[in-house]
Amino acid sequence: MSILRTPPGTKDVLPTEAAELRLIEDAATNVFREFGYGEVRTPTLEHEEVMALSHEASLLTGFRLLDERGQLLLLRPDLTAPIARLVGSRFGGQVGPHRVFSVSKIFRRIPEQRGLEAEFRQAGIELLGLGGASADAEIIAVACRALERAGLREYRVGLGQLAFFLELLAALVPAAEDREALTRELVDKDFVGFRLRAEALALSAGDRHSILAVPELRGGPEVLDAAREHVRSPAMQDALDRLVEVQRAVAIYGYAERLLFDFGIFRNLAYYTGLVFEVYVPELGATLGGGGRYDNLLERFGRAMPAVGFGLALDRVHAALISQSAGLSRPVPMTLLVGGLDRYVELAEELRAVGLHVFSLAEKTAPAEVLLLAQQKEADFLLEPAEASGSEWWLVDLPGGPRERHAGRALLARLRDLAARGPSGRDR
Amino acid sequence: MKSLRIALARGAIFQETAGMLERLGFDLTEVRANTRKLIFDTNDGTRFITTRPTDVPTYVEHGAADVGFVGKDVLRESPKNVYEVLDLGVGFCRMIFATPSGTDPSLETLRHLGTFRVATKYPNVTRDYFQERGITPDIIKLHGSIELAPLVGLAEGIVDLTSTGTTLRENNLVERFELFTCSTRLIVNRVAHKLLAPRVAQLAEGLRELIDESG
Repeated sequence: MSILRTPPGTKDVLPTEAAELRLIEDAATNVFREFGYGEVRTPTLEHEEVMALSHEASLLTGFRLLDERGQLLLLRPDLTAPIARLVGSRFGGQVGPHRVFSVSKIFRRIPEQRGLEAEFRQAGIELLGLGGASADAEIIAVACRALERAGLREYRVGLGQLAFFLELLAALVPAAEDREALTRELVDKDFVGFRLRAEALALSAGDRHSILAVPELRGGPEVLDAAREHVRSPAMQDALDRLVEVQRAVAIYGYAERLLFDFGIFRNLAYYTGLVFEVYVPELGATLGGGGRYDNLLERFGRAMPAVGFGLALDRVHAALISQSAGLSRPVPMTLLVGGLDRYVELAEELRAVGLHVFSLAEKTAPAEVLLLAQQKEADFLLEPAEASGSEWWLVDLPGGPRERHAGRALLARLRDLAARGPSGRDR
Repeated sequence: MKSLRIALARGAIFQETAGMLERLGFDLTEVRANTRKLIFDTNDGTRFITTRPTDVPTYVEHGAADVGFVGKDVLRESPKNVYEVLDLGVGFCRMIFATPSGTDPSLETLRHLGTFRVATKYPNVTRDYFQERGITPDIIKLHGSIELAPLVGLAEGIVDLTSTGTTLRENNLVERFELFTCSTRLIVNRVAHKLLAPRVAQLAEGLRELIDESG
């Protein structure tokens, strides 16, 4: 076995993939900024005891190490808990609401051979200090716009409401341990176990029907009507009204048709309190991201305030774009310039000055090597001197395009024209 | 809406599962007839994928199949991020602990050595069960013919599935206790559960009616 391997669940990212990931990241962060979100960066290492304030056990199962004083440190296990810590400690004098985003690597331990990553990049936004449906809608709209700006066409946002089911249990099931056992089955996605537990409880037929039916409610807006018949308390009515309000507000942004209502979404993070969302594409068996409202989390970090957030798994967005073969061509064409490294540095500089990307080669590069490099570097244009003085040039529109001979001045104009037609449109 | 891709296991649970699907109107003629082929596209657009039982949850977790049918024993041994939607009430079997007949050798070994050796195809299930009871046995993972292990001194006992108990008796083994019972489950990919919700619900409802009929 080669000793040059990377640890399980990690990988190196090479230029093609990195360039595509960068495009997605730039598209997303531009959208975040358009909505007034400011970037924050938190350390890769966090104190375990601070992350434990999230009450979310799964955050504490990641990679740990000891510092020189014997304190337990964690590699960043998610984006939200570190931001809650940051807001709790650094935003003391500032008035809300706060809009922050972060693009960072997340680390987690993974079972071997499950096809999962131990290290992955996430882009997350958090809207802190606002508790209403319009804040929920903004977060959903930002997520949709970021995905579309990145080029995604087919996607749906599953929108759930934890409060509706939890309030149903509060109204019908008196024992706290029974309520916890029921929700645990749903978090584990075990509807068989859930049904067994629900059927073992002493309940009227109608109440049992509601407990069994609500987590199965999913579909279009008609689901909201279907949910109405299960309302047992004013708190449940409020939870349902909230969904309707969010739907209306999301419609103003133009994303209502993306929504799927789903009372069976139970995201496994202990800090969600109400609305929860997930993003799906038909081509991928896993979610592209998700989020929700976590109104109780900030209090544990010393600054009680409502909050809602969303995280996108950038690698999965990338995989979804590849499967929809959408939006990933390189925006600025790359020109391979023979002699740009030594003899014709001035020309290379002129090309860069008009906004082209230049990959310079030595004048004496063998022709076979030039072709190989053009292929490997996925260059869009190739420039070779047609005569040693550098006054006449061969311009090749790659791959395999026509060879044109141009004089120095005409060359720049011609290249600028070709570049202006935008991304070459070739499938990468 | 897209038709379903269904993962089936050619194994102990195949006949009963296939029978139920046929009663719901699925065409499994070719699936039954051709045991070498792995992918079957039927006229109604449904695609059947046949694989080993232990691989069904993997196909479903990664979305290579939308739904699958698999025994609870497989799901308990290697939990996957899938929806477990329905207990089909067929494919019943029991996960048991067995040792050679006579005095239970595992108890003797436990008393003297503080541990004992268990041979099994289900190391996770076995470890969890005993650890919850304060015992950490030495687990010996085997891939088949588990009954052999205690007979040749490889282990004091075994954890394995049994339905009739015939194999145990033939090898002079005695069931000491049951860990849990298993039956066939319908599992669903977490994205298919949302994006193909009507199809998944239709399948689950149809199966549920069959289960209720047979009482």
